[in-house]
Amino acid sequence: MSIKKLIPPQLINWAEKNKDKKILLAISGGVDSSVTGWILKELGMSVTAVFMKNWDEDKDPEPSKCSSAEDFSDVQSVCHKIGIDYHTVNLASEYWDEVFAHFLNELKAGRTPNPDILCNKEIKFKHLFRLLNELKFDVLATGHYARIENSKLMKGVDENKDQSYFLYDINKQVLPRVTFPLGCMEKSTVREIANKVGLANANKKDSTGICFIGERKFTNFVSNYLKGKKGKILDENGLVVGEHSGLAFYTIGQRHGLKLGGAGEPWFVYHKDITSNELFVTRGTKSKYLFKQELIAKNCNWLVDIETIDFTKKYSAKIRYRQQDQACEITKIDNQSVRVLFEDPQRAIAPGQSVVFYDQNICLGGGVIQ
Amino acid sequence: MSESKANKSLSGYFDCMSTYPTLDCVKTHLRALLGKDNLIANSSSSHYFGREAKSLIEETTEVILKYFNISREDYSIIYCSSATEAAQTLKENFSYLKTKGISVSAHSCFMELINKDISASLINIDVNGRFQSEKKNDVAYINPISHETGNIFSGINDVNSDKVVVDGSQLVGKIPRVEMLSNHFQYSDCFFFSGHKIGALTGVAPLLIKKSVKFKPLLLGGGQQTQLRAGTVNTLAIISLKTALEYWHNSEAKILNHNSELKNYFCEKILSIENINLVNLFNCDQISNFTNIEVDESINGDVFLIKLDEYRIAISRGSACLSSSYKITPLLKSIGLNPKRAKNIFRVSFGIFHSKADVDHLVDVLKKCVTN
Repeated sequence: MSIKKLIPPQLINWAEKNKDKKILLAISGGVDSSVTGWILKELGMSVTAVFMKNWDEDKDPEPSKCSSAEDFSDVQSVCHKIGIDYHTVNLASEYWDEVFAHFLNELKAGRTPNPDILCNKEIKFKHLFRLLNELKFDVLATGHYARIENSKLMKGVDENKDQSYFLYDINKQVLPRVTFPLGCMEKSTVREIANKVGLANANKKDSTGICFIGERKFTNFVSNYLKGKKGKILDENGLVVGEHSGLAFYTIGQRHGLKLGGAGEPWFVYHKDITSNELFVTRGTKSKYLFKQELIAKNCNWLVDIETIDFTKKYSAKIRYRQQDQACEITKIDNQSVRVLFEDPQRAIAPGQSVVFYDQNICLGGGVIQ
Repeated sequence: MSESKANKSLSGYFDCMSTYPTLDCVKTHLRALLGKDNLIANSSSSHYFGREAKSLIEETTEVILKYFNISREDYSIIYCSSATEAAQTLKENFSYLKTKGISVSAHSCFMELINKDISASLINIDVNGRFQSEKKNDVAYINPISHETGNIFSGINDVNSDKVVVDGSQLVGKIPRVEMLSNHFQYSDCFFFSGHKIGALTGVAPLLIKKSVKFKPLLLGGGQQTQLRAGTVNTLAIISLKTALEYWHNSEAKILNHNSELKNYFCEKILSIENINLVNLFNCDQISNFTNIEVDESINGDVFLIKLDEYRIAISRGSACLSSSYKITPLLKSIGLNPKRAKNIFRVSFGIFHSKADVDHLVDVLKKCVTN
């Protein structure tokens, strides 16, 4: 099969309708944004790539070995291969102030932040979008696995890769000028294209976890910025079972790194008390202490007009990336806060993480779990 | 935009500080050498073809000796592949020394010592562009012309050091040869410069070392270059260096005049643009083909560069040898420049191939990019 036949027909139609548009591609050096660039170019679009440098190694006491330099090298190679211009923009100070500082503050407050969601909101779809306007481009393209139909954010067709969860907090005003070509493709097809085209990063490992931490251990990384205050670890009955090294280094549902021995089922974190600096643990993956049926979410962002949401209807939600949809009822407290009652109890609901709501495949928005 | 995009001629290239486009005389010379049936053989081979290649290298060496007014008795000349290699070679050679001074304008390879070697300290430069070297060092690494501000720093003669290494990458051809020799070169024990900064090919950087300096090669193996640097030499680049250096030597007055004329013309015209100012960050001269411009803080420096690129206008910022992503350099940090302001300071450097019409075009595009 020729490579071009791997491009879904809906993308060909979209390109036909938008052939006069100037596209700015956010390229990372990974396979997804690279294939996005190849597809757009192959469809005859006018594409220019931009590589964002978001992390300031000078402020990192132990920078991981040149991952940004390697990524940029891949960008150069890929752009040469597909024949598009590329540029770099340095958004490191914006990232530091608007994403990383918030990340540290949330950890200090005992919550479990998701910097990737904030990066999309503040960096890619705010600052990069501002640059797109200044440069007079029409459309921003990224390699996300999500779709936009009629200015609505939809799940990507590859259920295993769908990234709409990370996009719920972006400003809905940008959606008409954003495209996610990979949203209507399977990841395996993307890899196939990359290999057939001969992109240098065709077999590059997908990035996982928090981008600025990379392959480093979370605790080691965070301890460069936050001083941990030791405290007690207590079981469900209030008995002291160990000592923690600082609440910021633990998250709800965490099993590893507790350094609690003894026979029996493994220990899991189920609660953090910032006031008393105590960490609460329970035994067994199915312990009742790990499960809750409802939550409150604040700082909600709605990607559809909130007036159009029928709060008497059942929707589905995810409380973490890649979770199966969970049936729920959403009760509006105010425009930015909701109470969510799940049909089934949810394991390890972590304050600071996000709950994202769906009506079938449409992403309605979401909020930060309290 | 598409029309301007197609224009890839040199007329829009104003980044000669980073790489000086290959001179026409160099191209002509190389074309003749690479003509049909010609062979640039391995200069280490003892047969006729090898000897021919060796002769061509010898011709370059002769030209370098003449340009610097030195003799083989006093100096070794090693052809490195880049200024970075030359710098690294010297850094390794002098690693055993107890105290090292590094000018804030120095090559990033030396600057790394500041974080890693407790025996290394910075040599600052005052507002008048003079090196401030009070502490005595065993070796000092000095760059007398900043890659990013184009200033000609003075006071190498006062640098308190047993050995002085001079990075001459921006010196050769950029200031009158006599000044270069008397104010800079004569105080150096080791000196290096790059071919691509003077219109020769990339891939060659001669390292001139006084024979009184104890020296060990960094690359070992084939015994090339009288065992001072192993590895087959880049003969073609070395040949190009000869032609380029002869050109600078013989046409110096003409080039410097041309530079000054264009620079003055540009400086006058740029005054008409509201959001762009000329800047000189030190109270001392900048080299003749160079000026810094500062774009108003309301304009994003990254966006400004991308817009210029759309018109195929090339100017730069930061150190000439660093990669594309901008990072404030130790030099600008040392004078307390705010990183945000530094991001909006650009260098414009002219070449002999530019005309006033090219400058007019540059000014027009600059205007468009700050007003659009």
